[in-house]
Amino acid sequence: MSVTRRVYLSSSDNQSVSTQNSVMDINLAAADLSSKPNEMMSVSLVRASIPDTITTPGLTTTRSRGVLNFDTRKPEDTLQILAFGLGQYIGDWSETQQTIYYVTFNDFDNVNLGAFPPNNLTNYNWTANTTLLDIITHINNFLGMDIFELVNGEDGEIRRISTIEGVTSLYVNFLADRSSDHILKAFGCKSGTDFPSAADMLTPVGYSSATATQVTTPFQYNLPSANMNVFLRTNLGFDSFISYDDGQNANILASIPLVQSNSVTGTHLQSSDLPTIGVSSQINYVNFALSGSHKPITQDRIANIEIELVDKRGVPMGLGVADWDCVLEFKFVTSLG
Amino acid sequence: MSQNTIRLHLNTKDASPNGGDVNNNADVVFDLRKVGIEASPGKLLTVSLIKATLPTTLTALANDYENPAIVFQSPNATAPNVAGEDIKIYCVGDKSSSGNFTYSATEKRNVYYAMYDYSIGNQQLVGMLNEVVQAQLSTPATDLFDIGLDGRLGGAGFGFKNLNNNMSKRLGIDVQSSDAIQFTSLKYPMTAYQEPIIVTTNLNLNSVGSRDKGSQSNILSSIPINMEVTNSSFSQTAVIP
Repeated sequence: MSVTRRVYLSSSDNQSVSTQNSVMDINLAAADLSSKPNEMMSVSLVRASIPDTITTPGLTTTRSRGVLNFDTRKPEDTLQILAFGLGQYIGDWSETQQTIYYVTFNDFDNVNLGAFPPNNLTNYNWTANTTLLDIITHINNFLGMDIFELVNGEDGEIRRISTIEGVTSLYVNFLADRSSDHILKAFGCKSGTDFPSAADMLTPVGYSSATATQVTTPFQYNLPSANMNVFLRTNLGFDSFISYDDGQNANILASIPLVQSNSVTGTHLQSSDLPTIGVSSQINYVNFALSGSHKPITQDRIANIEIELVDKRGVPMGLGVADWDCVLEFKFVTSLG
Repeated sequence: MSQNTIRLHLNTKDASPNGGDVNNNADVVFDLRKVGIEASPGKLLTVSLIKATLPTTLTALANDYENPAIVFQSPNATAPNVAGEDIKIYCVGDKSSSGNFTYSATEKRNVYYAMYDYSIGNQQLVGMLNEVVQAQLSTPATDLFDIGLDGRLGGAGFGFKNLNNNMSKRLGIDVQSSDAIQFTSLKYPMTAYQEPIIVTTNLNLNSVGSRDKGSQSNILSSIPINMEVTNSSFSQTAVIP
């Protein structure tokens, strides 16, 4: 026999300030969430609502070693970055053959840009509403001319990135050695860490010479693949496993697919001359497998609960200044023994 | 163990107001004496919300005639309006009290009452701000506010202050920041995020809310906001199912 209690949590009730509301830290001392001596507690996520400002590929909180120092070590997980070289060249590739540019993502505190931004670095805030065209447009604006375009085909079936068609002076190499893998994959580029030669870490697009044919990324772009789920990591003690980093135990309460609900429609005031950025939306998750997803927890009393939003690598995800909400269900199961 | 279930189909038109504003159907009482809901000895009553349908006219921010939700300054104005003077927008649920969003040569326009319901998204909110700014001017000018590619509110020369906490989050303003007034693009993106509607009752439940250290125990359910359009015109007929 079991008794259930539902717990309705909002980050607006946080007892401490966290980076971009990624952690919900709630004092539940008055709720008396405790089990009796012959009971065990279990918990499951019932529902969650998350704003569309969630930073899909994770927050950048680490400074790049490569931007200023040409350090080609793979970026840390807390650095979301894309590097590419621009310009045609003759012979083998080296980093002096092209001008190297960097795009960091979700560096809200300007860890990389700093007070004196390098002129080969820009930042873009990538949220659940971001499209690849948004990012491409931002990079083109940063470079001061149209460099990249999306190659979609008449039926939209190709979905690859290249330089502007017909402009045979444009040649770009995406650089896998100093870019984040999940971002390379989202762009349809080669990724990884095994590069027997310099050419193995390059994903060329555009025209290698004035007479060459146009090259596109080898794989289709798929922006959501940068991170398709948000994981809820808690301070509750239970067994769960995540495959990242050769596998590890982590207190993952649930994963929520980043599937958006178009939540806001309505009147549009006539004098407004705004760009079309789509309707407002948010992520509303309902756990339809509630009874099967209850996890026994080791605590017998919960006076404080912490829930952190992390990506598939355990990197904190940000929400800007927006709040998020969730409902948990606790079961108190009486031992039959 | 045997159990019986009774489904209650409730509509606020059949309810009476639970004190307060008699026109506000958000807080009502249903007379259920004819249903005969009673637990016989040895039985327990349980309750659950199955589904709910709500109109978009539900106010997404609490009505507040005392404290403006937005206070900002416009860099330009035509007399009798004054550049740099506080412009106040109050969010209230009574549409008939909406301010007049047009310029007047005889009347200073710096206080507005606006309906802020669930149909207001980022574009609508920024559109409203731009309308208010235009109402300061005798001849139309380029919109003061815009939304950038990455969803951040931008513009030049504006300054917000004394923002309602909910409104500051919608605009992307960090209330923890020491910058009370911001004149350029904001740091964080705008959001139309709507927290779930909490349904509370007078029933003795064992639920827990995160407010006040978990002491609230009368929450029957929460309803995520996901509006659906009930006809094809995208008009005011959307519902929250």
